[in-house]
Amino acid sequence: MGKKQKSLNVTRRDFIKNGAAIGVGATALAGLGSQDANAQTPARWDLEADVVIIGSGATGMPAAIRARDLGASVIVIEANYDIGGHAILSGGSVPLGGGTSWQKQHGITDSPDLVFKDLTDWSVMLRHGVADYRYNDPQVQRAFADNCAATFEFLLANGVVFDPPDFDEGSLGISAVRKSDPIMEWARVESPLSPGAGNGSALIRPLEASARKKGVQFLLNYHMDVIFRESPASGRVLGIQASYKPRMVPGTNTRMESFRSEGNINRTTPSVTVKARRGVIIASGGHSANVNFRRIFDPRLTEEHQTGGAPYSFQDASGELAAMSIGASLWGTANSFERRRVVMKRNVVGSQYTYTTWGPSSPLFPFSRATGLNIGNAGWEHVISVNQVGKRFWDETQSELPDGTGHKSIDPYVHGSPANTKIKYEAPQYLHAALAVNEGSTAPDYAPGPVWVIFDAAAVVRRNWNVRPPTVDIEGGYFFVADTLEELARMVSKNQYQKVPMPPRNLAAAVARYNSFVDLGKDQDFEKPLPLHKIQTPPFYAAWGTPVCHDAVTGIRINGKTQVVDVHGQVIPNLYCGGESAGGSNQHGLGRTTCQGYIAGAVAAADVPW
Amino acid sequence: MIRTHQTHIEITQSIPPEVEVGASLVLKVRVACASGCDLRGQSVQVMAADGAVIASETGEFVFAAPRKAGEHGWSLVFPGHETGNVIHETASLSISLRTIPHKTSLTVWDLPSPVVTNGSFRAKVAVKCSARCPLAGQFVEIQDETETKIGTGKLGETPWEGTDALYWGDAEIRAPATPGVFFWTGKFSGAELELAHEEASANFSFRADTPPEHRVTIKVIAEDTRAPVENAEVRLGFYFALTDQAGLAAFDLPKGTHDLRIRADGYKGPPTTIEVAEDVTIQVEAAKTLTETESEQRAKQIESASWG
Repeated sequence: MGKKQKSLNVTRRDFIKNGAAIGVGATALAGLGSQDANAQTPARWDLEADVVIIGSGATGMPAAIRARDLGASVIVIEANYDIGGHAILSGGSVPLGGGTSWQKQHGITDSPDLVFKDLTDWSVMLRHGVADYRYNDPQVQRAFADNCAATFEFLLANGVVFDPPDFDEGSLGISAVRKSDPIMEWARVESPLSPGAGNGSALIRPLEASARKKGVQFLLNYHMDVIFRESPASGRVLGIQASYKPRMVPGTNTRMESFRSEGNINRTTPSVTVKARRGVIIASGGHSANVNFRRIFDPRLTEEHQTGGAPYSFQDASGELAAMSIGASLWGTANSFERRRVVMKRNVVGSQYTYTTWGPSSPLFPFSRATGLNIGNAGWEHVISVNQVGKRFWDETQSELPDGTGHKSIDPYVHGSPANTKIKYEAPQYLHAALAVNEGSTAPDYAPGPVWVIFDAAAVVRRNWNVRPPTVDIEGGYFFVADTLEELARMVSKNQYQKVPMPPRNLAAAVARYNSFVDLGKDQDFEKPLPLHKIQTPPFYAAWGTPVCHDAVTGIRINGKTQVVDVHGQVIPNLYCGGESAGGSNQHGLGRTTCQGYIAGAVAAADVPW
Repeated sequence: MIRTHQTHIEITQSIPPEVEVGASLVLKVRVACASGCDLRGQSVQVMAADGAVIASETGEFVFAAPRKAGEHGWSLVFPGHETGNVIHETASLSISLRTIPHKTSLTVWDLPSPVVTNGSFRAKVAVKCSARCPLAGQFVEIQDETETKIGTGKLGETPWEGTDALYWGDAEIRAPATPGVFFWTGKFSGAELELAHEEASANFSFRADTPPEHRVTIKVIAEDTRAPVENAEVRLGFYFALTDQAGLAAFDLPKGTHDLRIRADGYKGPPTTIEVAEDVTIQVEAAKTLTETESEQRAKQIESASWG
């Protein structure tokens, strides 16, 4: 560090202590569209805590409790009207191992060394030839392995109840069963308590109850916009600024309210500054809904691709962008390559939101407008998929990209063995074909545009599909019915993501050609096995079937202590990150997220205050 | 003293450059006096090129676009007149638009599968007009691959169930003389309609086979329970049927060798080939597999459990 910069730090800190403000230069990363790199440290802090946590999901919640347990005061900043983030909607799998009491109780042998060995084994391959664990950062994985069992016990101690193990299923490495699902009966029923009717509620709600009881404070409806550092490229992190962004019940002036309120900070000022005496923890859930940010890793993921978690949680890269504006580095970006969970084909069609779905009894239903039509795996035999210009692009029955590897997925498994790579390879290409440039892709983004699932009245009868609202979203323009295929193409063109009109002749020709494959007994274009059902009986239907973005498996560089590391390899003092906003680990589920929150809470609480 | 005031006429809502023939048009017109006189109650005329007055209204015209396709022009005229000691001068404005034929689209469905050679068969044909014109009594022509007319269907009075205005009828079609897969076309000219309509055509395909000689009955039972399997998809060569409650699917088909494939929710039959030389009933034991629901549940479990 140069003498001049060091001098600036000293001067700046003195200014801050005296309640003055100072301007600093921009960083090269300011162009990513987040905070203003010239953001001036506030003259006055509105709120103050030892540890300030951005986000209240599966990283933020354990971090808050852990820091509070160690005596720190904690404020959690949450952009949503209620806590939980992406995690509260999830299936709730919490893959943790390394010798937990739960594993011991069920006779499973495990250790931190075994977890670490599993999660850094270069030779474990997915069925399409992509290495599952090769690109994980060993430092991040070692910290995870070492804290894995302790995190599990911590969750138990804070009210999470786990289901007995299912030995047929495995996750988190191959050597041992490390799957654990929190279970609460109410979690599977839609309600304000469990908005997505997912088991994730059974993890998040008990942690929330514990956090509130222990005195964690929550500032809901505030979106973190800026992380203040002594200077953009050096010095400690000081606090954050957030803006008030309440969510209204659609069509009303009524603000959405959190299920619980104990510990909520009652505030509605347009913006707020929060001083973090010991540290700021980024737990904002990743970047999958930020189109520009996710396109850093895969330029194909243009705006028409909706996001798992939306419209409840945001995943807008706010944490990443704010951290990068003060020098943070990205890390482990190779993990996002051809990863199923980054982009997914869904069996739910005909609605804007097809990953997490909501029934009419959910408080989120006014946002999602439709439950979506689940055509199941078998449904793809009764439909064709066409791109934005009305052309088929692949065998509709092909599955998603292969899933991750878990316990017994390679059997027998020997660490690092060449035998591990001799697996039965499958390479479904449906998603790649769906994301390909087509005749309707135009400069500058060359977006592939929507995918439409086309079927006829006979399919509706055969499959007993409900093609009426609220199952499908006709009003929002994600489901159309028409007397003829040409008319259907004209209607589809009204969808907001159709940047070009779908040529009616293309759709009619695509269907006629597909129907001829039924007569020929062979799909001459894409080898769909045994095409059986023509699309010919009016009326005709078009359902939104565009691939969905889900997990972020890359993010900000952290070290084993979850400290954020800058582009020069130096720790940014007093800034921490975990979960989907952090890079270096590709785990799906809530194991790494809870564990990194557990680590970050402890390290931040022990940091030196200012 | 008599004073002369200039007037100005304009349309306040632009008209589309192109509309379908006969479509309803709304024209909002404003006339202003340069001296600010109150002209409320005065009429504006729409005049054709030959000077004929088509409409005369005080502000908003609703009239039908010409019934012929092509370019059309009119003049909007505010006739000059004298009121008391003020003469308001005539003001006019030319407007033009293009009228286009109604779009039509056509569909053909419900053909036998396969069609039997050397006879005739029926299929449903239907036409939709973009302006929802009633099309009862209109004809759809079926042409073979040489564009020879080999069938006709007359559209009925009532739209097809579940549709907005899809007029349909049965077409009687001459079958091909030889077996095979055929690619034919349905055509609708629209020429006999009063308003101009675009032509419509739709390609369709079908398989034809020689007349059936034998009845083959496939009985599908579950390997585990020995009970009949209902709604099993049975594919015999290019013939396809679903089993009934008794697990039976019957096929009338010619002699020959046919591949037999059976699939049901939760069951799968072993692929086999059968030689058809006489009427026959064949019992197939379908092996248990995951049901669709079980498959979905399994996929969900893997989804929530996996590392990746």
